[in-house]
Amino acid sequence: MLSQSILLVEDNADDEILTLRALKKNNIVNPVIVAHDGVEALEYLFGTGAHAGRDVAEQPQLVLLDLNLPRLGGLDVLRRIREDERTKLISVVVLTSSKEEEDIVRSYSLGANSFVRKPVEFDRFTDAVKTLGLYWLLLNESVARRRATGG
Amino acid sequence: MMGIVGVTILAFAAIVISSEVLGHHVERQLATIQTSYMPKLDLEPELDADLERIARGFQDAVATHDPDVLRETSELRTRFDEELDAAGTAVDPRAARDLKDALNAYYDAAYDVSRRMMADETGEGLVAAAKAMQAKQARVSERIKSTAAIDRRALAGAFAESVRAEARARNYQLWIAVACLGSILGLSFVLSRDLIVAVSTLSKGLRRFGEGDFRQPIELAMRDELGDLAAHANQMAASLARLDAARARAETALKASNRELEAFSYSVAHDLRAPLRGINGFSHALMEDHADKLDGSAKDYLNRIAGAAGRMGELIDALLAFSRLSRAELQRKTIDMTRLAESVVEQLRSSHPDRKVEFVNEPGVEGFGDPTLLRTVLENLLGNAWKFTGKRDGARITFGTAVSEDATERAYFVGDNGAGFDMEYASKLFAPFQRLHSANQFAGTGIGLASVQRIIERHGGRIRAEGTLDQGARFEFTLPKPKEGAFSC
Repeated sequence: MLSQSILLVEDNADDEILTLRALKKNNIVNPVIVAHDGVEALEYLFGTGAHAGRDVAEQPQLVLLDLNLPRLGGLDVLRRIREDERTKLISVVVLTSSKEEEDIVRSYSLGANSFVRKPVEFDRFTDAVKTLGLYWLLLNESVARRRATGG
Repeated sequence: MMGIVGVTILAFAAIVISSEVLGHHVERQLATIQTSYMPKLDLEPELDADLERIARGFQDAVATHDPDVLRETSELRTRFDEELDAAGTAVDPRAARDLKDALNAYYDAAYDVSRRMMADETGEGLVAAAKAMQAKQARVSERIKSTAAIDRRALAGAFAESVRAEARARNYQLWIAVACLGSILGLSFVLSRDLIVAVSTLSKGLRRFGEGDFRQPIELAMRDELGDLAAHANQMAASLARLDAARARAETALKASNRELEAFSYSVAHDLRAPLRGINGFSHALMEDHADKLDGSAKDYLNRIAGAAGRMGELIDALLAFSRLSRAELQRKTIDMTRLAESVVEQLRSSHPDRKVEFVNEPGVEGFGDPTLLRTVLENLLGNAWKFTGKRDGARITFGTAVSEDATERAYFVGDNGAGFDMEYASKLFAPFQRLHSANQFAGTGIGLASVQRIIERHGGRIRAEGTLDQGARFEFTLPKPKEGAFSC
């Protein structure tokens, strides 16, 4: 079962802050879990290591995945996500920082749903989310929350 | 080779020697005919005539009673003997002796009778002596006949024998010639078979070398020109193998350095861009989130920070794209250059709808090269023309073919009537990050023409620029035509 949460896998603290800010700016207020490297991301997704005991039946709605990560690279994380029954349906948007990386994602075709160039370009981000069919879900959620809090 | 020459010489020698031997045989036969029969042919009438002369000599002596005439008959007898002797071996010596004896007997008798008649002797005794003398003369005549007669059967036999000998000689010569020819043919077959095997070995070996396989030398154990050829080919292959190994090492080194360059480019992209994103992102955040606390100059500074960071990002992108140009594999195709230019200009028009630019495009221009990279070429050249005519009324950009001095390539040009440039700095145009205009005048990364040059050179073409300050610029480049049979679909 998919929860409404978003897993952000990002090792750069500046990028993390800017991405979180961008999400907020776009009224995406889903809970965001941040993993700072590939290993930590997999530990979260599969309930191991630092995240042992987590209910892995609850998986994030979306993974925002940086490519250049310490310990375990983004493409390896993506491969593991697609290999595992529990996680293979999760939408993954790869965060790239250059055209070179976009080419890498294209050529690997490991099953990324989309990619977005950092720092998150919001027009493109919204497009990506729209094409994933997640936009309304995220938006509805945020709208519902706002109503709940504001109303 | 030497074998064939040897056999040929031997064969000629055999033919010459055999014809010499057989010729001698035939000549001996002919000599026999000459010595045995020819002298006899006229002997009989001559001896008859001599005998007749002797008889007449005696008659003259009797009639004239001249003792000198009688004495002269002796010379006639000598002449008879000489003629007989002249016949030589053609006459059987015993028969010749008998003939001479008979002649002497007759001569003596005739001499005696003549002397007695000259003395006017008569009587029975003289008549008897005369009869005996006549008998002796008849006997000489008979002897002449039997001695000088030619054995015609023997002559015919000898002649036939000589003709047969000649025929035999011809036959022998023919057979010897046939035998020689046969052995020459046989030997040349054997030799040429070796030759064919050798040539085929050589050819296979050379083909192997041609395919770049130098491991196995050509094995040809011949001590002639072909053996030398094989040895030279092996030497050449050894040198080529050394060169090939050196080239392979260089290629490996080049690949390694290319990989390093790629890794470097990648880390440049990453490591330079990360802090840049921070600068850019946080100045935006500051602007958006705390705009109420910032005065005009603070906002201006923030804008400049973001602008500078953005510009640095563009430079990094351009540099990476430029380095990527050198590595990407060329995928050559035949391209409609007219349409490509048109689509680039349409793109420019749509992103600058405010600009009014006249574009003159030559129809039906074809090119052969990598479509993506040639698009980059036209994007840069037409984009430059677009950019540098930005301050001109009646801006005009032209694309078309130029005259090429080389039949194996096509030449193209992009011209404009824009800002142009000073030819003094033309050499700097194509160097990366060299700009002839300040960023305030015309924006740009300074990487465009360097990229264009790199692409054209990778295609095997050339590019040059002509310009006049404030008059316009013209860029001419060439692309090789496809090689025969290399047309792409």
